[in-house]
Amino acid sequence: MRWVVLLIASGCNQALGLTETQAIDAHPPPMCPRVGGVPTLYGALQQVPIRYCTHYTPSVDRSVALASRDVQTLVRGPLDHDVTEVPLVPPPTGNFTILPMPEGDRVLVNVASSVGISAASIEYTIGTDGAAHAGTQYPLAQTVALSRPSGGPNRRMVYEEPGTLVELGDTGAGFVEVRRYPLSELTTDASVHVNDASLSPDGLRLVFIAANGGTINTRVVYYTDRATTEDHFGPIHVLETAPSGVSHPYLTANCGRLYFSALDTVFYLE
Amino acid sequence: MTMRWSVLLVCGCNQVLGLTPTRTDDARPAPKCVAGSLPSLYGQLHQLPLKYCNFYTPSFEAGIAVAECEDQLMSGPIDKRMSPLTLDAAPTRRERGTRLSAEGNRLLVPIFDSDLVQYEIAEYELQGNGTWASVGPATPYATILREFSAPSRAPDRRLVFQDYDNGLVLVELSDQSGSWREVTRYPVTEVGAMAKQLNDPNLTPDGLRLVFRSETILPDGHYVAAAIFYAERATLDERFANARVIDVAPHDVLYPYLTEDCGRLYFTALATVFYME
Repeated sequence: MRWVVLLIASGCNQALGLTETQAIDAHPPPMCPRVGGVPTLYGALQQVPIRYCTHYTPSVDRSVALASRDVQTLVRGPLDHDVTEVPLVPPPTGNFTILPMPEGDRVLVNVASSVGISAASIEYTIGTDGAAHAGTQYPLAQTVALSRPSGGPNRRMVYEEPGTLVELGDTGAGFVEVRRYPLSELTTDASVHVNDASLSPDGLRLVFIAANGGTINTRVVYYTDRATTEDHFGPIHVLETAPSGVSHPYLTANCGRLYFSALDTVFYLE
Repeated sequence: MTMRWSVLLVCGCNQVLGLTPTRTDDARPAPKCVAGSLPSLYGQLHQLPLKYCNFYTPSFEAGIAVAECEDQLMSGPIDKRMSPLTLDAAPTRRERGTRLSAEGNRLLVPIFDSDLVQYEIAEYELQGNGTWASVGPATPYATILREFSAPSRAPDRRLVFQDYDNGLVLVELSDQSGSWREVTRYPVTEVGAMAKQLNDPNLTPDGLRLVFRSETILPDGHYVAAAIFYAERATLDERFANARVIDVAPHDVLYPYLTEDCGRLYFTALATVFYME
């Protein structure tokens, strides 16, 4: 009788497309570590079926994800599924990078300075017409490689000036520098530089790509955290379960998934 | 009512036995090679539970695969975890690039003969106890180490490797005469006008299809450091030509291996092994 019940339960799973019934949970539910710890990721890669995308950013409610395709095209789709283009209206001029925000309906376009163009960040919000419309423009003193922002309000971004981590905060009237401190607070390895950085939605966790020990061929994912957005980030750790050679990492709000770009596609590991 | 119970029970059996979910119809047609066409790959990647492994070579005839994981020779069921394999009378200097035969019963091991200062192919045969025993004398094939392909099926096994000595050429060996002998060589430009190198060349078990890795400039003008190329021929007596980029395959991967039905492409990337269907 017990076997019949088990078989029927399994059959229901199959018919309804549910996760397999397991005797025990394979992994405990994801949870962010205490400050100074490292997220627990188990290392099995799952592919998101999209190509040539970077900056893949799931919304906090896990309903949609935003990304950039071929660098300068904004795309959006259901989480972990195919994406479609979202036109930027008006399209930015010059060289720019699209930085999705964790709300899932807005991006920051980071425009590099060039002849006749000043460095700036422009906020685009996706409207009911399916296009992303330009809103507030924040001038930047220079071209910088901004991280993906945390969620609003009190939105934060970081970037590296050589040897220094600079943090910007959204005052409501624009992003202003709220603090800067030497990278030596995060690592004694002077060869580490912050690339492809992204903040978690709460702004308390930062992941980025850097060479491990200065070896350009072993670019790894680094992680650091802090207790509040008023604190400095602490010592960095290599996320050992993440493969080397990937780009644009993004850690979800519950620290349970790390998304990244590699092999012309997007993966996550849990 | 009885039918509904039967369906539920069948689905349940799938779940308990770990089988693929029952479907009302196949989502895709069965893979097959079509002359003149690229392999029918859809772009979905699957990761194998392996780390730091290269030269992944499956034998679907035997149901096993062999790879080198951190310089350790490993074997196991296809797509599953592997364990170290044992060579009887192990060579004093084994080199990188051991390959499994298409039949799954032979290992081709590159070794260095320090007396004759040459690289040789040593063969090992699978024994009933699961070990691999040396068979026959090793065959010299190069004076500088070249990583060779998986051999195609006997008789008239073929293998290929890239040679740099006189420009980039593809060297093809045959064992029809009882030991490995060069049967032809041809320059990279003959294999494919878009290819610059013939890195990590590999043959399908029938010897009729070639995959390799090369830098190239795609038709849209994009430079790619390592694209996977594909070429084919109708018989073993013909030469590979008109190599084209497998456009659904990711760039910057290593050691491609195409299955005989053109339905799967294995490769090494991100310190693990994937296949694409």
